[in-house]
Amino acid sequence: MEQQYSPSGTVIKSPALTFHGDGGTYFGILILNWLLTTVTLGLYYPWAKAKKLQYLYSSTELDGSRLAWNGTGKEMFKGFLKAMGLFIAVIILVQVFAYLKLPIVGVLFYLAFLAFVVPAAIHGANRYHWSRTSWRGIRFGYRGDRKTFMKLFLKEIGLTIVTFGIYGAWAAINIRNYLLSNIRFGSGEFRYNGNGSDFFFMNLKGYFLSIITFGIYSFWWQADIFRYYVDNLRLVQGDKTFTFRSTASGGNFAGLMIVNFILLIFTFGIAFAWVQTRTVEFLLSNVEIVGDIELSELAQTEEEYRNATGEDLVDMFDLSII
Amino acid sequence: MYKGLYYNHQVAKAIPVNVQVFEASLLLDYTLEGMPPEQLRWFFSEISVQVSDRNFIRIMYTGEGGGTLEVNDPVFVKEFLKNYKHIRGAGLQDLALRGGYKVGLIALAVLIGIVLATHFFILPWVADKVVDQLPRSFDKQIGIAARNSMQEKIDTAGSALLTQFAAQMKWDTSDSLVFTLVPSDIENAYALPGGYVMVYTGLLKKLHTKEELAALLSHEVAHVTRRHSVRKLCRDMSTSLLVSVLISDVGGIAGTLYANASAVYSLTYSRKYEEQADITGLETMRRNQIDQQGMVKLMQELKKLDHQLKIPEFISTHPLTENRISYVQQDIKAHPASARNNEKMEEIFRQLHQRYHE
Repeated sequence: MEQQYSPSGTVIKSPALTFHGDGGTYFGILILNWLLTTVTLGLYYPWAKAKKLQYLYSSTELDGSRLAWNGTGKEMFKGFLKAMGLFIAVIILVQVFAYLKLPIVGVLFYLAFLAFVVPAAIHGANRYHWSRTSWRGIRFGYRGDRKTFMKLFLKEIGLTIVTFGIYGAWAAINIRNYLLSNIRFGSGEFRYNGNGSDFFFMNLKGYFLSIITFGIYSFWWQADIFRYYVDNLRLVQGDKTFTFRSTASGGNFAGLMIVNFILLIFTFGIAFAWVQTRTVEFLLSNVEIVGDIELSELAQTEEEYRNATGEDLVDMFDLSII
Repeated sequence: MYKGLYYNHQVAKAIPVNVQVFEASLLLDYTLEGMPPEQLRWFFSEISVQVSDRNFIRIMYTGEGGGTLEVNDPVFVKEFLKNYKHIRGAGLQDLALRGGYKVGLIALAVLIGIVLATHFFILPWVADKVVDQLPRSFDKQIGIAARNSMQEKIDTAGSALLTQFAAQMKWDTSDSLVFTLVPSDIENAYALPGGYVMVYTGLLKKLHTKEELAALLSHEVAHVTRRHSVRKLCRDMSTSLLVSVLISDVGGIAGTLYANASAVYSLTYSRKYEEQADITGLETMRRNQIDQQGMVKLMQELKKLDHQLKIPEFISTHPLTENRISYVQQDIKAHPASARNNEKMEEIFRQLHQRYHE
């Protein structure tokens, strides 16, 4: 490859992001997980999740080295127990209020609990998840502040409710800006610079064009959303940066999704493992990273954080964080 | 000697190392530019291992300072694991990583086996045990709820006659039985748990002798005494429990398949219940010294009705009438009993007959 130089005189690099996961192996892991989770009546779930993430992360390669998931089933099981304890305590309290003939107090208490616990869970999940992810022994991390995030989250959700959901696009992007901009990759810092208005109008356009074209445009809409998520991301270290760019077109997305659909239909769903690996492979191979950061200079800065309660709460609420 | 990459957990620099595998340890050799060569020895008791596929292994040093070694070499993976396993043992997951989809298919077969065993043997057994523990008052409550929700019209005078007719027979049950006649063209009868026996006038019209009616009532009461409805309810509930366990893990497809398969299966046990009710009904008739041939005649009447419908056996809740006649006749042969003509029953049946055969 020809070497290019940035204005500051450093070499411009383009590290590759690739996925080596094999559908067959992934299928074996998922089915085994399913078997063990079923025979243990669900208790195996945290270990199953650890195995799955370990495989997916270890199959993802950045600049020749694979990512690592270091979380363990034991940690997530402890988190699961704490999360369950919290839930049971709240249910008992709500029942006590109902018994005391104060059901409204109970409902208010429950809503207050949700308002507090959902953002706290997202915060905790990010801390745990990123801290347990590493590359070349260097941990990722999440540096968000819980109080700040909770205030932001409640404000954004409140505004979304008041505006009957219209503000949702701005809320989603503002929350995303905060979460992603607080992610660290060792001494590297991620930045996300989304803008609610752009996101809103992009979705508005996608929605109406999809209706007019009987859904055909939805692939291009999907490509737009993906591009919006990728292109607004940067990694910064000191005065050096990496920018991210999506190379996936609507046509590419159409190809991926139509084949996925056919695979699922004709195998009665058994191809789900292959569909997932194909999708991850597609998404990662369509992210182009360009910049002058020297990846081998990223230093260890993030502490280890082993409390998985937030991660398990997020699973219980079925919230997807990224 | 194998080649690998070593990370010191301080910077993301990939340091090329030579690795040697010993019986209980690894030896890492590397040289940094302008530095003297260095050696690291990691004992197997101080490492944790992640295998992602047969080519790649990640070994993390858990001792002071930490450190990670990554090797992309199938020969190394094999040799290292051979030594390492002597100490740590192999996990099921390793099989999946190295066996791929084959392990998945075996696991799938095992899982299906467990589900089938649970469904056909364990759950029905548990459900029956649960029913045996439930008090009779539970049946009564369900019966009352079902009766209220159906809102059948009642032929009061006819029901009174039917009740008188039934009162001539001794029933082997602690339930208080309630016999009801419902004006309708439907040619059917059914029993609700707790002892509510409903007969449609459409079916009553087809019966010619008191023995046939006695057989019909005996059959329906047998459903009540054997608690068939409650048993079916418990089995169906355990089925839906199993479905929800499956669905929570794999999404709709497996769950739907299972739900359909079990709906077909529930027909087979309904047929088993029908047969049981026929045989128990015969017992009741013998005890009351009623001619058991009444059951056969009832079946023959039902057979005439069948000709209008033609339901194949595998989707029918009742056994084919042909089969029913044959096992009923066998049972009669096995248990011959004397019959006595009950004048009072004859008289009540005549009144019912007059009422509905215009």
